Amino acid sequence: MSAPRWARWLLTRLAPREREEEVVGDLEEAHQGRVRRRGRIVAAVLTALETLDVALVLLRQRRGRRRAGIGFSWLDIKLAVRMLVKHPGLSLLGGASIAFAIFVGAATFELFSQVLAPAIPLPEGGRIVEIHLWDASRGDVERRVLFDASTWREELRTVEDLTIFRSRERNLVTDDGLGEPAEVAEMGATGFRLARTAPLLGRVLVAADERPGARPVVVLGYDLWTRRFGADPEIVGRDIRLDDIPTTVVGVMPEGFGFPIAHQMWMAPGPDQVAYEPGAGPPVMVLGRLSDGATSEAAQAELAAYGRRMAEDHPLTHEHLQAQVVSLGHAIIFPTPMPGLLITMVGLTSNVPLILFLILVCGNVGLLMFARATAREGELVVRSALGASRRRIVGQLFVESLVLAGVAAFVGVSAAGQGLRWALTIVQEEFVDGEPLPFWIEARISPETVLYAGLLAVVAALVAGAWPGLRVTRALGEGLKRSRDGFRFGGVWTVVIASQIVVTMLFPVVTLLVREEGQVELDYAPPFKLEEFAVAQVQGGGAPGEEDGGAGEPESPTPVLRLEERLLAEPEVAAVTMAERLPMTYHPWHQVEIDGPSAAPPDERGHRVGSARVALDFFDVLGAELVQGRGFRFSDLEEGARAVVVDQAFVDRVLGGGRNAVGVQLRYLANEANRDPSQEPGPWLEVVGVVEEIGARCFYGPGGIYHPVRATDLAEPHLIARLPAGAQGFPPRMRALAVEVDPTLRLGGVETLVEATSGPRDFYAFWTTILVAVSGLALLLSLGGIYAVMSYTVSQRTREIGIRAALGSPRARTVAAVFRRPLIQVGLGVCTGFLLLALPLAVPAALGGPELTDRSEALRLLAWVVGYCGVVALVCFTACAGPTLRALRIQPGEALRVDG
Amino acid sequence: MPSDSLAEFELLVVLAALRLGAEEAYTVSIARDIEERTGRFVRRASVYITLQRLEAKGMVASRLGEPRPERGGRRPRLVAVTPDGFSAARTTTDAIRAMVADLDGFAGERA
Repeated sequence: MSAPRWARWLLTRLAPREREEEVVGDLEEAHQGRVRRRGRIVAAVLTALETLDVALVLLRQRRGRRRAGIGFSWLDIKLAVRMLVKHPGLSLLGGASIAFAIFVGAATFELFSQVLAPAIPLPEGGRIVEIHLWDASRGDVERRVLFDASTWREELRTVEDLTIFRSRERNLVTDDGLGEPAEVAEMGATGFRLARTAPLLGRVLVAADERPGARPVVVLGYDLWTRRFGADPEIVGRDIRLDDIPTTVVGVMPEGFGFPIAHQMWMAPGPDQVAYEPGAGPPVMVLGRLSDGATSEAAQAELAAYGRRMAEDHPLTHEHLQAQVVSLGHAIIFPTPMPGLLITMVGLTSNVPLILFLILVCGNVGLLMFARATAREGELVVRSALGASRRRIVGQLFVESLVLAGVAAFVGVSAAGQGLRWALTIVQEEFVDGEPLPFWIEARISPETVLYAGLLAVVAALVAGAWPGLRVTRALGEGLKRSRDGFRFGGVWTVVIASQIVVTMLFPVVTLLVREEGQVELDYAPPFKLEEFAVAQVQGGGAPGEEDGGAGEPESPTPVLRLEERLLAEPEVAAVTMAERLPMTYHPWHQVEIDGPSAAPPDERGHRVGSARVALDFFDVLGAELVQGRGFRFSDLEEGARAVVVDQAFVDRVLGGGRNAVGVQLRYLANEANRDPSQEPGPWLEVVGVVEEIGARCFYGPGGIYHPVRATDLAEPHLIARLPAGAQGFPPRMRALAVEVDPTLRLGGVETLVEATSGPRDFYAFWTTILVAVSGLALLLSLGGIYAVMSYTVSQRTREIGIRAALGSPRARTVAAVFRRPLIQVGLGVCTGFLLLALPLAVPAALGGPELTDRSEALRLLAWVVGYCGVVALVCFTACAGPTLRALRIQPGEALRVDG
Repeated sequence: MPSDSLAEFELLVVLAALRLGAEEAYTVSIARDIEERTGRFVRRASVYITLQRLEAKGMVASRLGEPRPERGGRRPRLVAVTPDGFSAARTTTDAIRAMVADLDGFAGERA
């Protein structure tokens, strides 16, 4: 295992050029030795510490002086550590707050960096570009460019190593008889020349592999090689089956290589990648590398000239086409090109709220530090009297915060790595249908992000340490000169505390909303046992009658139907059905119009429900009961039949529940894929039955419409097998059966229904946990801040309170004097929070406000908000109880002795 | 301290370099050797600084070795003790030996 990249990066930059190799080599050797002796985790920690130690030495040498140049000594750091240990509560609360802020900041920064400014992990990966044709008339990229590519290859001077790439899905069958779909990159030898990466085993593709009649060969990716072939070192030369075609493995690429996108198999281009007429041929991507000294602007200029010439020579196909050059990272992430400036703006603006959040959190920590500094007034006065400059005292307070923020940054960055892993898993499962992410997007923290976290830690230390330090020392100077109480909480602290209370109030509400939304998922119990079902999606291959010459004889059962029969022959399988979507997974929304009265107007949310085409026996196999009407019949498949079955959630949401839905007419207006409101509505459909809810849910909530379909009419059907004894362990058998039936049949998502439906529930559970933790932290910070203000006020006004008591001032007036400032701060925060919560209730539904069906609901919500604000105010004032009681117990004599 | 004698850590570094020889003495191996023989924790940064100081005084000379796989294919900076370094190490150890010679009980306890 290599030394951490950030450590290598840091030492490379700090070491003098002539010592760079020695220093980084030492790091590598020392780290590998530690990994062998003490394991990866301990080695990582020790190497991190040692790297920082060596980096400091190199930095000192670089600056030509013994100190690192920031004017602090180890003594300051020791003192800072002692102070943090002395006040464990404050250190823990402040540290946790800063760590959380840095966790959020670092994870977001890394994610945005990888998406918006990706660093392609290949030699000079930043110079790899895609050339495409932008069709201005369609507003889309035209990828049928085989004709143009042959011209570019001959003519372009600014882009070299041009390669044509296409992704094709094949069925990989291994010796154990299991098949799985695999994305194969068809790109040939030029692609590997472009990637400039040597294979781990064997060789890459060569020109001879592309000749007609050459034996099919494949290069494997590291992950596939380890996962499916047990990292067999003798794999090179072995034959594997791809769509039942024996293919020889000629090489294995190193770990992390997935060029061009996320590929694990590479083959020579198919015979159809030959020269075509303009605008003809299969869609492909053209990749290349900017020549030495060429810029992307120069390449763009060269391509623009090409575009003008082609528009003149081939106006029929090229009149609206513009040749463009974009970096590989942007070409893959953004389906349509985005201007570079827009990408930069998105990157910059995404950081603004994060930094504001950090400042808010650190402001509160600064409040606590400030309050603690006031308790050290004596110590600071003595240091000042002994000759310590203001800069020295502020520096000490800054170092204390810096140490705290440094530890917090370490925790935050470590957690960010894990957080990123979760976030990428969620992105993969929820947004790209389980497809692998581009190979340069990884759950890792780059050196740039570590630096960014370091910068955040310095900002945190400035806000939480230097700022209070400046205020304290200024007040100290004035106090010494004028012999009066120096430290004061000004308006800034009032704003900080009030803002904190607002955040404290808003977070639980957001948590509640997310939880309510997620609770639907978490609480929903389907009317069938998830663990009894094994599922798989047919992703391609196995064309009807393929083995009979590809003519698709009607009487020849398709491979999908034969697989269904084969599954039914298994003794543990009780039934098999097919559907377009699995129950309890996302269904794209369809907006419907009802012919007759309905519960809600056909607005944004009202009539948007999920929809799926299912086999006739779908409800029977799942064991879902019909609440009204009937299920599907064979006659429903006939031409012109209009029967649909809706679920109970549809009846409740759209029809208002309680009424007989059978016979209701409905039709589609728009759907998730085609939102054009001006399109012709679909034909009228008739509800023939209502089934209990089985988990059809779209973005707008539960509710589903089911259409009957022949299994053979579904492009990529989901197979659902019911095994009363439990489906655990059956998925591998499904794969094996699919290979037996037809080796070209590609099955994806072979798993139990429990696994297939866990994504949304895990997603909500994760976010609910995060938000609860944040709410708790925000509440603790607010209470800590308020407590600090109160304690400070009492301690600073001991003498005044004593005199008031001696002069017979009523206790109520004393309480009022102590309470005045917290009252303003809490009042300001609670009122602002109330306005932010209550205002949306006043926004009309037409303008995006909540839909309030009647006045009583509005009043109920308002009462809820008022009650909630009252509770927050009560909790905040409870934090004032201790200091207030202390103020009331002050004896006049003691108070005058202490301060006088 | 006279210029031809060595501080304690400098002495340990020079002795480790002598023991390892000109083909095997470099920062990591010296730090490891001192750790194994003395049982004390050695900061690699300290070895860097010490070797640079010794080189500036002319007590060791350095050159780049051959690439090594355990270093990710990078070359170590090998150090060789110069005659001046050897002489300084001898002077220092002689001084220590002379100081310890009369302390029989101390020497016995250590043995």
